[in-house]
Amino acid sequence: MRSILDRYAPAPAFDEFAEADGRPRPHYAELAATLAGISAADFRHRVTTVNGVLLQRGVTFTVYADARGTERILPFDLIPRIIAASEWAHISRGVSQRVRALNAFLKDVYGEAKVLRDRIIPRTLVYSSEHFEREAIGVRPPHDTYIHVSGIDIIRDAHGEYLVLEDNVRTPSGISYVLENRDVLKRAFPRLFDRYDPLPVDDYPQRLRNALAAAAPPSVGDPTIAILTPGIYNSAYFEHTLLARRMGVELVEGTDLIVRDNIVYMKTTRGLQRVDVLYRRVDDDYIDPLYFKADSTLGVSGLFDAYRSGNVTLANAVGTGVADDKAIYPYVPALIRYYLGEEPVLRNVETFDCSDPAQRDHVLRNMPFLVVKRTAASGGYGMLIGSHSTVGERAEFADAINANPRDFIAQPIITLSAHPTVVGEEIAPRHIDLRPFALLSGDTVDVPAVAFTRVALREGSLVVNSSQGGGSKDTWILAD
Amino acid sequence: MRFTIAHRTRYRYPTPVHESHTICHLQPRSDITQYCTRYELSVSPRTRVFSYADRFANDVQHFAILPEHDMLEVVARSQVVTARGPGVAPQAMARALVDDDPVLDELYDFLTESRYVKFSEPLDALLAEIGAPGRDDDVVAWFAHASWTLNRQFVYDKTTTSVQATVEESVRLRSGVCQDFAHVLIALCRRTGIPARYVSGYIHSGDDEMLGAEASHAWAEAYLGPRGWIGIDPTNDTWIGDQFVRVATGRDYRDVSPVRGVYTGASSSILSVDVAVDALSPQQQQQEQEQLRQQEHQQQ
Repeated sequence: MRSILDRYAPAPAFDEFAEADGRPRPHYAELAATLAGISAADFRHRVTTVNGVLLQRGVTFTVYADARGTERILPFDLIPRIIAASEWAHISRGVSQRVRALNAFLKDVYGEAKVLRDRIIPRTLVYSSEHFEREAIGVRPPHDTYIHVSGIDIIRDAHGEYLVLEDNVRTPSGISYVLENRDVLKRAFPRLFDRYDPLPVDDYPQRLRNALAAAAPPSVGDPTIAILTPGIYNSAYFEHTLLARRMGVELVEGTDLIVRDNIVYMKTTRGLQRVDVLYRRVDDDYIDPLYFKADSTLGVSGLFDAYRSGNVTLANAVGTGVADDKAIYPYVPALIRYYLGEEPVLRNVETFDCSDPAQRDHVLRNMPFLVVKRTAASGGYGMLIGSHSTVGERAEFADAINANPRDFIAQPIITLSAHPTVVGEEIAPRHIDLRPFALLSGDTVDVPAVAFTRVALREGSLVVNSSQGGGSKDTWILAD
Repeated sequence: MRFTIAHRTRYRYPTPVHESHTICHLQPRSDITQYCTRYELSVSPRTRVFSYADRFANDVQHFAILPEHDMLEVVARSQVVTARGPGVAPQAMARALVDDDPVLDELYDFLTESRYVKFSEPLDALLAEIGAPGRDDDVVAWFAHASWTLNRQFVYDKTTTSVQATVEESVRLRSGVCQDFAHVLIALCRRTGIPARYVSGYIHSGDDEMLGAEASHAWAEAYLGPRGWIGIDPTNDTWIGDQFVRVATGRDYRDVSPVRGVYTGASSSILSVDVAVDALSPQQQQQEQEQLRQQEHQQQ
């Protein structure tokens, strides 16, 4: 029998699955054996079944700027990514350290601002950040917790070293795919799943709930938690509904809430019910028309007053976006040393800050070999991959960089690690990244064994963002 | 000087509105040059009023009116003592002392553009006309000269600009109200690297005819190194003295607008504002002091 793995040729990158000589790595041996025993026809059958299940469940991802209509299923790849226990320990240590440092940075930058006076990071970079919320200066969130939920994007370079590519400390999404992918993959490979017995993901909603409950204002005994969604047109609306259901909390929109005497209430059929913690998936700019965008209909008037008075916890806190601004990113290792007195567990990708004239020069001269990113953008939008760009595109970016240097950074093009992925009738290597999620309460970071692996489905593509034609994989994190 | 100030703001809505949330910058500041001895904010319809200090150390009040209403009235009454003496120019000082001030790094927000203070070509042309101060130039004299230039070239005209006028518009039109004069002067300062901020407050006209006395007034303050924050009123081309009452400071009008809010319902409203700034006459002051003395006597 011809196996679908027969023609798998490792990529010219760090191959997660195969050693340099082509043999599977130890923690992939079982998977290799299972795949070798599956015929192409059987495999095709499993793929079709899985896609049917996902469509039926309504796991969709809204892609903005997509002319073909908004809802689209996020392609799911049937081959699971497997992470060994020792590697996960390393990753989660690094993620936890990073989140603690970023939270300390936010507490400082909206408080005493010592980090600026000590010149660890230029004030100009912080104050010019689109996401630096001046209204949040001097406002202390309950327990000084800013980053209740974060997703840290991690890649592996050609040597297999895990590096942090970017931090997401505003409203990172992806958890719904992790939960759904697991449900589906369990069915597709029940025996293989039992043999690997990866750490569970379905306790995530409970752990998130615990973290949110712990974040409630100190005076509250049994906090009422709700999820604030921008509504059905938001790309992650599916995730908001899924989390609300699995956490057993209300899903609300701005119009369902009202602020009276600095206290937030939900309008329910039995009258007003006080809300203590809002897991808000609405961006800072839209949460309160009184203080932020006046024409916002997604938020709640007076919400920021309730927050300032300490009567409601907003998760994440207001103003976290300055910490994941791409121009701040190069300073995160220094922030880890400054606040924690530790060496970073996970290194950054080398980054050139275009606001610095010497570095900008380097960027402009080496554009074909660099990735240029807009500091305020996310989701793979507004970026230029030098090696895949035309002369015209590079000229356009150069003009934009010269006009607003602060808005750009550049990084060397890193060949992301590759992983076996279903491509038509075969399995071929495709580039992947990893987004672990972290939950912060007080000084404790919980890094559940839920990580979102994204895969660039186009051959050779290094952009894994779901908005840019990426797909996802179930990620099996092994116990010791 | 002692002042009694009454500031009444009234909105009428052609059709009822609800869930209105309002914030007010109406409480005069207390600092080393003036002291607010009494402050009272009354709101109609009645509601609970909350207060907090914002990041510029302004005392801000806010309140919500949730039921339907077709009128909102906010009356702020305050008594203020000013003790800065007549407005006179501070001592001359080289601009270098501003540039080399270590505090400069912390004044980022007063050196860069803000919502109503944007840089533009017309502004640069005006700055070129006035001349940017060099390191050895007297920055106090420059600040006075910039104020004087605006005062001479710009027409005070309530009809030409709206509340949302930009600096560029004001410079092009060479006209505006006190708010625009202040924004332009602030923009000139920031453009040439001198920190500047917006002050809202009141001016007591007295015997001299002062512009802006019938409503909220606004002027500019520049950070002049060792001299500290120095205020000048480009609308009347005068240094800030005893006849001025400072209410709030910020980057521009947006940070300190006296009354602003959001509500659900009607798309329009009719606004009326009345401001009365009364100085206590020497006799009245004497009477008041006599009363205080008697009270103290009784307490003993």
